[in-house]
Amino acid sequence: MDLLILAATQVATPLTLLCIVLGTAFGVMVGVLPGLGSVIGLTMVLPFTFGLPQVPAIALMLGVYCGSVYGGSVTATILNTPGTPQSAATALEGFPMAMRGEASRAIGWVTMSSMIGGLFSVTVLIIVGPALAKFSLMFTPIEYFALGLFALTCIAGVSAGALAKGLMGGALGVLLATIGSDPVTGALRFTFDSFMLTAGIGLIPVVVGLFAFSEMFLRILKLDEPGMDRTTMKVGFSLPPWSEWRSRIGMLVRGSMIGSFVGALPGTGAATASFIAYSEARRTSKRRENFGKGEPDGIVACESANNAVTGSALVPTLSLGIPGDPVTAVMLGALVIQGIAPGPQLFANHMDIVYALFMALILVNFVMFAVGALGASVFTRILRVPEPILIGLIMIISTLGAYGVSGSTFDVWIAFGAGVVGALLRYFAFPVAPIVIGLVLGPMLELSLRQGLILTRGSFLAFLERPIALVLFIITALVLLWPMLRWLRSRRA
Amino acid sequence: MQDNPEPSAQAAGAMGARWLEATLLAGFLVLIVAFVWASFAEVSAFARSGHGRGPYFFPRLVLGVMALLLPFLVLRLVRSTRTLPERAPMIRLGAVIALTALYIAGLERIGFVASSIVYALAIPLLLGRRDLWLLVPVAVVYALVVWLLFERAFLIILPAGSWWS
Repeated sequence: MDLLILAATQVATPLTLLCIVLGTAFGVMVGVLPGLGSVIGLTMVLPFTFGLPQVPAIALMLGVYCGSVYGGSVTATILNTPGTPQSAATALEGFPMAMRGEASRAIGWVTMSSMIGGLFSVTVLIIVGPALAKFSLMFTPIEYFALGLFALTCIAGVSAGALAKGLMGGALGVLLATIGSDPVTGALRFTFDSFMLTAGIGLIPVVVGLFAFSEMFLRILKLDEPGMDRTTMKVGFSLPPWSEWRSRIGMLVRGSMIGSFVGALPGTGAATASFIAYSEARRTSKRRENFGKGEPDGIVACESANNAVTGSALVPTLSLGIPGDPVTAVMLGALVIQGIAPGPQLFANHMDIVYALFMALILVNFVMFAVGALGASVFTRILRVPEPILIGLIMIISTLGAYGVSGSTFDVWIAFGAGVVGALLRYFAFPVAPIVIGLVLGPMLELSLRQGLILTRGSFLAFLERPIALVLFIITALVLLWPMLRWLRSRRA
Repeated sequence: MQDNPEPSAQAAGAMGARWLEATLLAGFLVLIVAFVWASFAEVSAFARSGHGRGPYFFPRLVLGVMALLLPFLVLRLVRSTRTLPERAPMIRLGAVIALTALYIAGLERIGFVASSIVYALAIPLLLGRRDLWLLVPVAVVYALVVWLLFERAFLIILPAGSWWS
């Protein structure tokens, strides 16, 4: 109880509340602008968190995270151009609604469903997070190694259609993570006689380069392409009446459950959750004949699902210290910079921080509703900012994101290099998210493997004698072999 | 951008893209070779002792995986249908990349504020905007607001530049 009160006093400060409001509003703005998305939004606010205390910094990041997921749906509804991939399914029903003059009502469905989906997932996080953290206290390095390997399979999830390229990216990320000092003996390796490399390659400069810089570089190639219709559509906010909600409660709960489940799985993310929820809604809805023509059932399912991912994706990140996607990887990096080490010890020793995070997340979802309700028309005006101006401004703030971690221009050069290489990789359809996942999981994977070998006196076979690890190894093998099995089955059919 | 590029231009674009992708894969090969080479650096007896293996045990596993994956990527390269973008956007992209490198170099020389004003002004000019009445105030106000916010509110020291010290 004391910890709850302590957490509440940390959240109820003017600075934290301001961070929640500003973070959410900024997140919505970033989400509204097509192509930017959660990772770029988080890297843009990252430098601002360096000067903030722990709880306001976390609140700011959570606001941007949740706000950006919601913001993407606003653009999907009024422009038929999803601001973020997770909003693509929303466009299928939102845009037809907007076209028949019900844009404000569609925004109402989007906003309310997003809030409820988000709150549902916070509940999941509150229930599952501490339980999982408690369970993971039984883990030895061997279980952590098995878990790290399983988390690496999320690379398959973020490399749809380009598995070999994704795996190469993941391996590159793990390799980059080995630069600097060896985690077991402290010996220096791969520094190529550079003093700057002795500290290794930081996560944040690489994320800034691979996501923010490379996105801006690639946008330059598309500037001459016929632009999207920077709509002049009047957009407001109109909350659908209870009579319309009542028949859609089931849809809302189902979407939230799908989002919460999918979000906790590594490498899946909000886009997968919203498409699963959409197809499920289309299959089960009483109004399925209206799908594709602007049916609110579809919006409710997609929006509750993609926002329900936000809380549940934090379950493995916070309780095990294992991020499932680049968004949570950046969140994890930001927490580490703040001196918070996600993992079971966070729940064991810093429960006040965990409670504060839960409270901030709940508040963010309410603020998101208010921001959406009051500012829908304002945020759509951001779409009118000329892209050449926007590119320069985003590059400057992203540069600060790379610089601010250690106050070194060397990190900015790392970001620049990652940006150029990232643009090249993305142009040739190499997914860059696996590089970030590899960079985050690499050190944990190496440390746990080598500690495990010390425990088993160098025997790999002894890794299979641990039941939890064995189950995780089997699941990993099944996940990796599943595409091959499916291919064999389809050939036989 | 041209609506119907000449077939020969398309073929040249496809060939150029294939060369560029081949260069990228060659970059991976060089990286693997360089890291494998570096993994034979001298290691202290302490670092090599024990069952946890030496500092290069894990990186060599990763390099092995990368070496196994590389042939798959080379095989895919043969089937690649990607083409290079048009010449004008490529030149623009090259100019923006060069300008960004100059901006980062300028951070240390002339400081954050001056280099950011120049960069925020130069990028839209390079990308075709000519409305200086809008660009100049946006660049100046943005750079100053960001500097004030970081230096004064967040107490994060931004590069001041060696020229002014």
